[in-house]
Amino acid sequence: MKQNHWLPVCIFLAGILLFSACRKDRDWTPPPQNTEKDTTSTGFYLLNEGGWGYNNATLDYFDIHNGIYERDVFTKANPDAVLGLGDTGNDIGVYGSKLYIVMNWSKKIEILDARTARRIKVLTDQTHKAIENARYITFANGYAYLSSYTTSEKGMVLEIDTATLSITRTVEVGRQPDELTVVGNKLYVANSGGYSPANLEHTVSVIDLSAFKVTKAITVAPNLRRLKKDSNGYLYICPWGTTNKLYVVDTKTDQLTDSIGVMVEDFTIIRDTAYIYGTDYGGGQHAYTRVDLKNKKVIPGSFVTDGTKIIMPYGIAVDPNNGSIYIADARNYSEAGDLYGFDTNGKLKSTIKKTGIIPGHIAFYNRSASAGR
Amino acid sequence: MNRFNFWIRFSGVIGLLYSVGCTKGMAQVPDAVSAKELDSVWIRSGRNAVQLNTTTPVQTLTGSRLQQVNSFSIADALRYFSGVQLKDYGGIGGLKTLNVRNLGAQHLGVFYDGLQLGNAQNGIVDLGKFSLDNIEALSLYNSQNTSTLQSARNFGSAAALYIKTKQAVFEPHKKYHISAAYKTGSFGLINPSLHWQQQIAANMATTLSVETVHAHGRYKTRYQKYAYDTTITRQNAAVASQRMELAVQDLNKNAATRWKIQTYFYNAARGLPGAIVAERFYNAQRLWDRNFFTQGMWRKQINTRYQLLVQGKYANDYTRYLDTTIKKTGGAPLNNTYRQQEYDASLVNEYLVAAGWKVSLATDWIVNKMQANLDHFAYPVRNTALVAIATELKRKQFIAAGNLLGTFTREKVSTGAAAADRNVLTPAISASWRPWNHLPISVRSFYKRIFRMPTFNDLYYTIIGSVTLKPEYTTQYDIGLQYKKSFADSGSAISLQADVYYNDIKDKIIAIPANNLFRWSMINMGKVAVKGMDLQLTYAAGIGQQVLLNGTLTYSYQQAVNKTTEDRSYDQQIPYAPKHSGSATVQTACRSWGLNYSFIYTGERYMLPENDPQNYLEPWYTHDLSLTKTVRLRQVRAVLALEVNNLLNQYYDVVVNYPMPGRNYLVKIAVNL
Repeated sequence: MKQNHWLPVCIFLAGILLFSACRKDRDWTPPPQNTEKDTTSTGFYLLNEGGWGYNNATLDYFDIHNGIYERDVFTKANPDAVLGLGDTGNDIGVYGSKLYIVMNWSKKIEILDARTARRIKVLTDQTHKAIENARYITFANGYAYLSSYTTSEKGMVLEIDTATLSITRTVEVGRQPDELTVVGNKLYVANSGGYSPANLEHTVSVIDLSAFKVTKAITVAPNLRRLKKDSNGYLYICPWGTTNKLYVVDTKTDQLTDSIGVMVEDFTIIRDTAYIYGTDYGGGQHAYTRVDLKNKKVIPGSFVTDGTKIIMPYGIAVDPNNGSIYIADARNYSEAGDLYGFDTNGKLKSTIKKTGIIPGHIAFYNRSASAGR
Repeated sequence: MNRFNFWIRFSGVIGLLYSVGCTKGMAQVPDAVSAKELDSVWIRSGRNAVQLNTTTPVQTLTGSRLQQVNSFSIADALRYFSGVQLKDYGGIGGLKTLNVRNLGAQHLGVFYDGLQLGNAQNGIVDLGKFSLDNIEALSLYNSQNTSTLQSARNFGSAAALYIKTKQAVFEPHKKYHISAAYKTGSFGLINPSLHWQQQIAANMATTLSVETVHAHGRYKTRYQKYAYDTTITRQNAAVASQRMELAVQDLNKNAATRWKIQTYFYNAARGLPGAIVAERFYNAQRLWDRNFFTQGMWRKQINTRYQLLVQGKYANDYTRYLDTTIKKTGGAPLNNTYRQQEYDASLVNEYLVAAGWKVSLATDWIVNKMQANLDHFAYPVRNTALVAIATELKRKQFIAAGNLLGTFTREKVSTGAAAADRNVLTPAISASWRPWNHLPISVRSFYKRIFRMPTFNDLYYTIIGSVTLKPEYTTQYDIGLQYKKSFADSGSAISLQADVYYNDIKDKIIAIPANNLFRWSMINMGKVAVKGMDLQLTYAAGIGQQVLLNGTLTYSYQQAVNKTTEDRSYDQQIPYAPKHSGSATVQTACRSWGLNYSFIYTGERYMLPENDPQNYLEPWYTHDLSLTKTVRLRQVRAVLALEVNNLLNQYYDVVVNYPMPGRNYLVKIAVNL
């Protein structure tokens, strides 16, 4: 009788032990995707920001020349990197033979060999406190310049020597600085002030690169974010969702000279034409507009001419080799993104389904050409 | 290898202790705790696990089962129910919410001694902050409790959890009951508590319950993948909290008038350890909570047919969130404070139409207000009127219940647009039928349609809120059976409940943490369909005169898929919903010794909507063990308990990148007099 009572218990414990034995660590390496070869171009790195707190930022490489799209090249090249590329990739840039990735929430700048994606050096908040909350990166004259929100009230621009990969100088700028660029011997950075919605920043800080001091603040509009230059010494600046304008600053006078009415969220400039995508905040409509920067005139019509449906444009780049336009689609920020390539007439020519989560930042680099070095 | 060695060694030691205890007990002349006394408690709690003939599925943990499952808070105890997922951010101070049948945590109504714990700000109740020390029973209802004598709000959520505090019951010639407990163990835990009931008049008693928790909250976790293997200590997980409750109530259960007034106060300061991501193993954010409520109940049997229930509540909540890594103008850190007030009044009229047939009319009025020191904050005020007509018909072999709930909301804001007025009627019906008188089997079924209002955060949060958000509707269909059999000869009992269900969620708002744990970004998943099955089996037996056995086994199957047609993840399992999950507990007692084992399993899940390998989360399961010894010295009964949780030291996350503790220990000493 007594055994009868224990029997179900024993069976059930044995069952649990069996049940427990089936935990397997699943590895994943998505196979490369093949698209049509385009021998007029080379390739680019695409940084997928990843979801906040998910630690799933990834780096992809699109070999346009051979028509191969490769996912997550960072993990393949750096299996020893603890917890991988990390959380919230915010910017990417190639300078010389090195690839720089600004990881915002992971508090680091990954400096990789651009050809192999192998890690050369990591700058962290141990290197400099301001690496915590770093935002954007630009390059000039052998130096990288990095904007950071920092953990203080005022933001900062850091100067990194691209030969020694160490931080050489820093300068305090406005609150929560975002994009930055160098024209001549001056660096311009757009201040947002986004942490204080009731008291936003309105200025672009001008830094003299010889003294590495802020020499001027140009008042533009509230909550500035994007800042890019053309080849004639003009800056184009747009805010985060406060106005539907692209502001023009002349770097010869450091004055706000013009503004162009256009829905703008992000843009890229190539051969003095700005390729812009914009959102009507709330309505879910997106516009794809070109602006002729020589005449500061909007070119009528959309540069996406075939009606391709892009759910949530999040990154844009124009191929310097052949003028193809690439738009990264973040979809609903939780599904993997898509990447659309358009020819110069705005017709869809390549589609990559399922990039990483939130694809947003593109840096052109020819991995195969430099293979022989 | 190490794990297994430890486990084998450990189980050996426990086994030895256990057998020593048993033989000693047998050799001794009447041990302090007689087998009979234990027997009745055990079997009763085993039986309570399934209430036969309920029209909606209910699972209850009460008495010794509740006290002996390895759990630090209410949240831990709820893991043993079927059809639920506890969303646990890990550690002693981590946020813990309960998701029933994949409807989402915000669809669970949590009732504390009959009145709902509201949270208009985010719609969730952190179950990790409720201690088990002063709790008598936990009951989880799918759909609702179908009683007609309850406030309209009880009909207003898709599932309901009832937390019932210990009732004042005195032994003859004893006017007090005091229990004091002290818990300590891993995470630097220091947790003293006191529960004191005093009869202050022939018909009146007071209850005082106080508790404080202090812990550094640190624990180790390990990350191994590809070519790395790192051990990280979870930091900034400290918690310090104080709880005080005071209740005054009448004692005469048979009186025509019954009443109770109680006050609850909780204060906590905690670190928010955040997600573990590359290069960020430490986060400095902190959170302070202060919850206060006072509530009263008055029930009057006017005549044999007519009964009146009046309830009222005032709640005041304060939350402060500090992030020193974000500096606002003037260099001040981000320091957000949120205040909420809730006023709740309810009147229920119940009328007995005929024997076994009751009808009731319940009217509630609820006011929710919220203030925050955010820029451009909307200062919302929500007025909600609830009117419910309910009926319950009980026949010998048949029970039916139904209600119609009217919800009427009006919102006002100081800046910007307010959410539109809502006037909604929602029904619920349920029935239970016992087809054969001689067979202890009954069949039951329910249908319920209900919605939840978007929360103040959903609607008005400065950056992410949207006043255009639609309410989230759920429709539930359930059919199940119950079986229960007691064997008089052996004193054993077996009970089973099995349900299959279909839930349909329209305009579902999925919350995914944004920026930090305390703020969320909303993904409107559109439509979700859940097909599932819940099984629960309990078994209680006395083996000979010495050993008592109580086992439960639960299993849940849930196919919860995204039905939003424009998503690529259409027809794929929604984030964090396992297809398979279950639990098992075995509690044994031998005279004054008790040994309890529990196992929890959660199958594979995905952290994001697409069921792709990069979103895959592997299954996790934990084995917990506890040993208790009861000592009785005259009027004093002392219980010593040793708990080992996560015995095999499995590193796992319930919420991705919020690691759960590995093997941890808890020692508890409780004294009752």
